[in-house]
Amino acid sequence: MIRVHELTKRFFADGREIVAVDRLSFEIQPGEVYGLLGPNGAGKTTSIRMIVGLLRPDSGHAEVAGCRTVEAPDDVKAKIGMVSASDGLYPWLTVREMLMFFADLYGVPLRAAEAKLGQLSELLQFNHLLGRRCLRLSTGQKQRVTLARALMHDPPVMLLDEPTRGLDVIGTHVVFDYIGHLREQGKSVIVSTHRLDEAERLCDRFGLLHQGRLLHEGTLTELQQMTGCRSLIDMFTLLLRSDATITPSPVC
Amino acid sequence: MSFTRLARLCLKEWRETLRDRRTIVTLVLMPLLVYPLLSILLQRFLVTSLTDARDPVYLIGLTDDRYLPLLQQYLDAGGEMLRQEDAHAAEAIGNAGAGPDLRDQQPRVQWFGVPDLEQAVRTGQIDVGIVVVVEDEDLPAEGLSAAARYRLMYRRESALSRAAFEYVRECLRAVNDYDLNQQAQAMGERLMLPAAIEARPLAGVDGAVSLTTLVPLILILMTITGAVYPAIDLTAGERERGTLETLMAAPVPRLGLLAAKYVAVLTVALLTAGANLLAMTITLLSSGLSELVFGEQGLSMLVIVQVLALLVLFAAFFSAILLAMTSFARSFKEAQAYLIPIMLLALAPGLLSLMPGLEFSTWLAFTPLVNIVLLARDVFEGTVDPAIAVLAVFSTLLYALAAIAVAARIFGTDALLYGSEGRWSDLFARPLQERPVATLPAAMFCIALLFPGSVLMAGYLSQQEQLAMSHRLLLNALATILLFAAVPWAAARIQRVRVGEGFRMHRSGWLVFLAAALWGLSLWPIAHEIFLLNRWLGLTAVSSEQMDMVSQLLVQLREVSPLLLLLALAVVPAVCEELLFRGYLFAALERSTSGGRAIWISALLFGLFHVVVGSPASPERFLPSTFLGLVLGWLAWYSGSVLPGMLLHFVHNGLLLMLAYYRDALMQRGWGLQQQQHLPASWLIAAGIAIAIGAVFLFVVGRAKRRTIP
Repeated sequence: MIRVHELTKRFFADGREIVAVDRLSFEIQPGEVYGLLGPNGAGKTTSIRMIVGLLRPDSGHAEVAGCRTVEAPDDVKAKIGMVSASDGLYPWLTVREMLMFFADLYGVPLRAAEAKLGQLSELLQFNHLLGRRCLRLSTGQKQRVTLARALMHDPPVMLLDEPTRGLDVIGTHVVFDYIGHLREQGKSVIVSTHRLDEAERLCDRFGLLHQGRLLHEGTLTELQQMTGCRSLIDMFTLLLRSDATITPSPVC
Repeated sequence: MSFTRLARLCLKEWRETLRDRRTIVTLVLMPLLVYPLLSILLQRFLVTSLTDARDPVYLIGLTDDRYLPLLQQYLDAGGEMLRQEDAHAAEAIGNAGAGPDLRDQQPRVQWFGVPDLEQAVRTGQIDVGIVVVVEDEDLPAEGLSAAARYRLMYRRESALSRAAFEYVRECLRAVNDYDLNQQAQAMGERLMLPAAIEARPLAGVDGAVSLTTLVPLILILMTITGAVYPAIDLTAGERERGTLETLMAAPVPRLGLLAAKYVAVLTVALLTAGANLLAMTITLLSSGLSELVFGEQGLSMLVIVQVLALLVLFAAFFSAILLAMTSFARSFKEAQAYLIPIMLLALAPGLLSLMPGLEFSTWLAFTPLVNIVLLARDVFEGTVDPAIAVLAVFSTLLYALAAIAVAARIFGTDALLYGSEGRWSDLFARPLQERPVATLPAAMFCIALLFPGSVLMAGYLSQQEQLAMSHRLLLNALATILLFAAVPWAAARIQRVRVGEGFRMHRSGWLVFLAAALWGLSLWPIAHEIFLLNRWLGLTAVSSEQMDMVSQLLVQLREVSPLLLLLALAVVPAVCEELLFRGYLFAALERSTSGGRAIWISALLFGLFHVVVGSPASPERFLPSTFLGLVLGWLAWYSGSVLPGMLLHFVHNGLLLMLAYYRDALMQRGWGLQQQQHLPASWLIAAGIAIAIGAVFLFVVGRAKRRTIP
């Protein structure tokens, strides 16, 4: 469903070149939840932005359901639901108006959009907020509405960039529950998160990014064998200690 | 993007903008507070500037001292008569104590002998100048009567000068009336008519500014104040709220998003301007200042309609410009920093309207903002030239389109989405991948660049009368190639547009070309009838001078080789104009909208270009050229190629040229045609048959397979 091949992005800052993403390659199948993990500045968000077509890669390409991002950006965008930690809402629109507006942007017919709105508001527990203006929502409520916004067009692919940032325990639980639900529906999901414990429980496979490069990729068991660490937290600690290649270490 | 979808996008932008309380405050409260405040200030200013209305001193000048004693006597006597008239009038209506009391307002008059009366009035040395014109140089013993005329000069912008003029005129009228009465009593012996009075309002020089000329400035302020906030909020605000990334992640064309935002900004600008206009109307009517601002006609319904129409034009322009500027901004703060200089710059052309004697020329009609400011000035002064006005309106709307195209090009680019990586040069950045056709914003931007370019080129070519006709023709051909082929080609290269696809240069069957040639031969009678329809509708009136110019041009053209004529005025325009309108532009339009709309839009722009490339502008060319554009557009759409249209265009132009070139020979054979007459029915039938045969050929071939353009 998602195929990323040699994706590379460089930025220029303070007169020098920074390689934000360096020849990143991976694939994700339908019904698979992929955890894109790494410390701050590892290139997770840049990778997600390139997959959705918000950033142009310097080389390489990303494919979603057979469409390349650069060649058919609108086709790719139509197949993706994206949630970002920095997502905002239109303060003067009601929740209903905002979600219907986004359904319209994705070309969802009015009746189908209304049905989807009813279904999502029930599932994500914000029925009572539909008539409320977005500026009056709490952080948790906003995050649920944002999640619903990304799902209004029922995309086969979900890209979730720090979807639980700023949420309390209950809010986080709702989001992760819903990710499990997406897997059951056969959607391909990429999750970038710092909640490693939740990620460990939820994701089928992981990609460990560091300084723009994919250092390790595989299931939790495979990563444990590769790194010698038992948990993702240990792997991260090791990652931060060594700037280069990870070797099995007895300390984990 | 469909209109209904665009309407839904607009609805969201309206909701988002109009529910914001800050917008409402700008819309309603500001005008409610500002105008009454301004009127109070203006009234106070007038009260102090008119010296003391209860004790005015009028400075009156004369060139000929001989009449001074008599005029002094007349003004004294006239003043006395006015007081008596006033007293009688007050008694007649039964409220002697009410109303203005002239006895208390008797002005003091100072007399001056002035050699140059007109200059003295203009410069404000005196308030009124009196010239006494008498047929008989000897002063009549009975005073100035039928043999004399008073010519009164005053400054129309000065309230004091107008008041002095009114006083002098009324005094002299009173004396005349008295004289008439005296003569009537003496009827039978001798009857003489009273002296006539002739008023001459003069425009003042330094510092003499009419308040009417301030109206364009007020219009600028009215529309800018309304458009600034929504323009920032709907562009830079999207990024600050964090909604820009989400919006850009949706599969919706940026031009559609920007069009909706433009409609929202325009709406708010118009609402603000409407609120301003309402508050201004109420204030002016209630304070009695309307005549002072809008002249003698005051704030009539016509003036209100004129102001409204101009407001739409100002708002259309400013909304687009502000949207384009704020699309570059990454935050509210940055957007404000961009807009402050823009607002200051916008006031500069507004001040131009205050410059006395500045003529609204063809060149200024194409200068952004200056054109609408001067148009507003001329509308209120009642001196507007319709042809210049049409040019100013069209060019302003095209500049607005270009600004929206720029906004669509830059809004939501990764440079703006992700801040520090962004550069202004990204606006002109080449895409990494080849693209089959140009984007619509890029094509519109190119058209907007070509518009003033064509006008400048037409103006330049019209001034090259000293060159031989053959050289002028070659220069004209070169200009056409540069503008209509080289510029879009360069634009296509910059955007990595594939030339074959981007200019729709595809093969077509020979039957299609045959049909195109047949249509090229047979369309001109219809174009001729449309030209006559133009005249019948009163849309154009070709003057005898213009006809003479055309005749002279034809004589000059007959001096050059017909081959050169065909090359310069048929082959080159056919190839180059088709490349632009039915190639580059049409491909971009067809990708973004339906075929029907692509045909109409390209045809209208084709018609407009033919209006402006004439020097002077030729509005009579709009309908025939648009008609030809529709046919060419349809053929391009049906055949899927620009090439048959080139043949049609060439045959059409070439035939008309040759008919004109060999007109005398044709006339000798009895095939003459008066330009102002309908064609014989047999010609029209023949043309109709040829068109039908061409249509059958096209029907046989069928419509070209739709090429899938990603």
